[in-house]
Amino acid sequence: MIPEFSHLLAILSAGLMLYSSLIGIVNHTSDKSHKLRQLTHNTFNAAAFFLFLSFAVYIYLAIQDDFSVAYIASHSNSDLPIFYKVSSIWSAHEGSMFLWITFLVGWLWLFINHTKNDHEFFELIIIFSAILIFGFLLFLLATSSPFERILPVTPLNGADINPVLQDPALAIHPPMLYLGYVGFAIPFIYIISFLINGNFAFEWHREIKSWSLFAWAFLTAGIGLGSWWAYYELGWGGYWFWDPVENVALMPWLAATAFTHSMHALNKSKVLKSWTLFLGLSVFTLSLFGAFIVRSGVIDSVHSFANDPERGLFLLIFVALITLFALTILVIRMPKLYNNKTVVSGSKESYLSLNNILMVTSIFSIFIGVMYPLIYETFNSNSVSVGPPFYNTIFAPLIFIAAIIISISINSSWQRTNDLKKIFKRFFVPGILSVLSTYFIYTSSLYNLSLLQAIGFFSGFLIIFSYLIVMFNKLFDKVYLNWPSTISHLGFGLLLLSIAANSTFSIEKNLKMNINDSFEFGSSKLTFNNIQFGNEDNFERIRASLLFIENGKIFQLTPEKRRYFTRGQITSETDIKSTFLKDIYINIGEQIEDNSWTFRLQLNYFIKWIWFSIFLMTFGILMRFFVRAQ
Amino acid sequence: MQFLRYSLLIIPLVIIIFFGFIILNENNAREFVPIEMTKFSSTTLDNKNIKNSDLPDTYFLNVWASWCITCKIEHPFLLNLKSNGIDIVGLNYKDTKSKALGWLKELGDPYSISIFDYKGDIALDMGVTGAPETFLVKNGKIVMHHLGELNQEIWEQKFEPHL
Repeated sequence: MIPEFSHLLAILSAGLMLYSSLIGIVNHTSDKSHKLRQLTHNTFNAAAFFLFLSFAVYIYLAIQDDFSVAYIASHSNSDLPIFYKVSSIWSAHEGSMFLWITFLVGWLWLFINHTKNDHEFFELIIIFSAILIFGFLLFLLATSSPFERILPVTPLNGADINPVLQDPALAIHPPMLYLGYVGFAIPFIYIISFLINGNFAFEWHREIKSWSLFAWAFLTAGIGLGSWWAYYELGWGGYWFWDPVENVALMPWLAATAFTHSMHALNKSKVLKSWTLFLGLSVFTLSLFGAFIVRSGVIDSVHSFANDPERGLFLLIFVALITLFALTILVIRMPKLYNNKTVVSGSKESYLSLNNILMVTSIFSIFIGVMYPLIYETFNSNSVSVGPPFYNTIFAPLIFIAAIIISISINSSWQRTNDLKKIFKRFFVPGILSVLSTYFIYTSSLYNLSLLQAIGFFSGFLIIFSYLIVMFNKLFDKVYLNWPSTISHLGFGLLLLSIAANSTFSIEKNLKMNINDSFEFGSSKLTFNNIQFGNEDNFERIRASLLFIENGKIFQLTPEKRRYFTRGQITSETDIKSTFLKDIYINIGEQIEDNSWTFRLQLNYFIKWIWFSIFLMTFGILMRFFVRAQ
Repeated sequence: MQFLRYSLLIIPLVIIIFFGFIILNENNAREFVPIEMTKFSSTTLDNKNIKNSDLPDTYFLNVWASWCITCKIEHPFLLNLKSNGIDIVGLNYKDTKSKALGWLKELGDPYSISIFDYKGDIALDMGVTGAPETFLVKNGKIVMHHLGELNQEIWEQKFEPHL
């Protein structure tokens, strides 16, 4: 009964969305009455309310262990804590799509009720929001319904959530990412409405700036959490793998970064009009592309859901229609958007434009990396994979140039050119400091620094020194300092530095050890003490106990292997001990014939600094809402 | 400039057509290559010894377990197949005998023979990734392998052409 109620509410919501868009279209193309506009708006609000209610009821079903619902039965379990019963909703395709749509409705509902309704194209915004939501609800209900039931035989116990998903980071990471992805539906719909409305003098960017920044912050945090989860829970031992699904999340992020920066230039200097519009459309388009890649099954990845051609085709057609519709309008309107203001070379906006080009280049490169194996497989019988060397080689020079441009642009000004001498003088100090620091690492370390790593160090140092100098000047001069920007960029510089340091200093050893064996390297020693077998409520475990001794400091390490009863799945529980600079990371492998065990020991330097720098970047973006910009 | 503007439309269009091509070809492109059926020697749920030669020339092999929810969903369909005279061999996967027998007693037994694979060794050799999965074996060769729920649509699409 209650599951049908939730199902019915979702259907009702879809119907009302369609109804709202139809009244809106009729009214907009005919007499534009105020009453009908109010009706469009109210219907939209009612539809949104029904969907929220439907999702709330669904959460209730998950908490109550209603295993007559097939999706809940196959992804949850009565023994799970409530927290994981709720997060099991987004542990597979149907439920996560439901969450995705609920967030989409949430954002658009907030936005629509937040803008003034005497707005020029208020009605258009509602119409397009309603159409977009209707399309996705149709996709959910027709091809991926989470409401299907197992009747009359209801299972007593659920099949359990996938054990690797029983982790707080995973419970938070998809919702964060989704909030970021769908948040960009606001600029998308706003821009389409603006273009159709046709009053190009209207300053469209003012109203959606904060919304975009908010979504951007969610996207940044979501990607960071995903990376953190892969490191701690999946036992991947690294922070980024250029997995197709990571790539399709990075593309909208880069587009969002380009978009928010370009919007800033538009705001300050009234340049880059059609370019910003294009970027605004492309962020959400790339998010949809990502959703298509993950949910259609065209690519195999840890993240991808089960392969279903019907779903893939529906999504492809719908995403294609949205994308082509948006781009067609842009192409038609573009000549009218002609801007007589051009970018002054040497001004702040000119540097912003250059970095925008670099960001679009990197999006394009990732896109090629994602597409190439697909194209190759289509025309050949065997397959290829595009791995980290491709991305590292492409990204290093782009980041090198970007870092120099960031450093120069700090001291440039809007709409005015600065003479080269002054720029050179300002660039000189951080430039020299960065070269010296990189050289210092090169000579003092025992490691061979590759060119790519050197570039990483230099770029990171350059950005950090440039901003530190500006902050230092602030102490003596009453100069204006853009705190949010400074913190975010310091975060970015630290990110580059941490990535370079991580790849330079980290050590990985695959060891084969018997009990009481020791392994020595440098000033450290690893001893394998014993191994224990045991049973827990829902899994059996093998736990090894090891001692890692370094410069007199002792770390006790107990990596585990678990076999979960309900699914028979085997997971590896890494043990990690952190110090200020590094993580000692150990994984237990297989037992081999002579009774010894294999271990993977990793000393991961600066990996925590990577999460910290992503936190700084997110914090900087959010700071915008609390610090008044000048 | 004109060309640049229209390329904004042409490039996505090409990508969309490409993906349409991939999705529509999904079924044809991944044609199943027959492989040798695993040699095994085990016991049935009713404690008889069983090996390959005890099985008929052509049979369906369904991997299932009492802990598997999707198995419960596809169960009525298997019973339906049995009533149409189709021979299904069950491979009980990582389960306990009492639970498995209880399930068959409660829900009905669609299998002519039920092999008991407690450790999942036979399944592992056959390339099983989880339950349920269904195989079609003809003269000692696996000619079709389906992962996940078996229903009328998949039956018609994947298995019926081989009969």
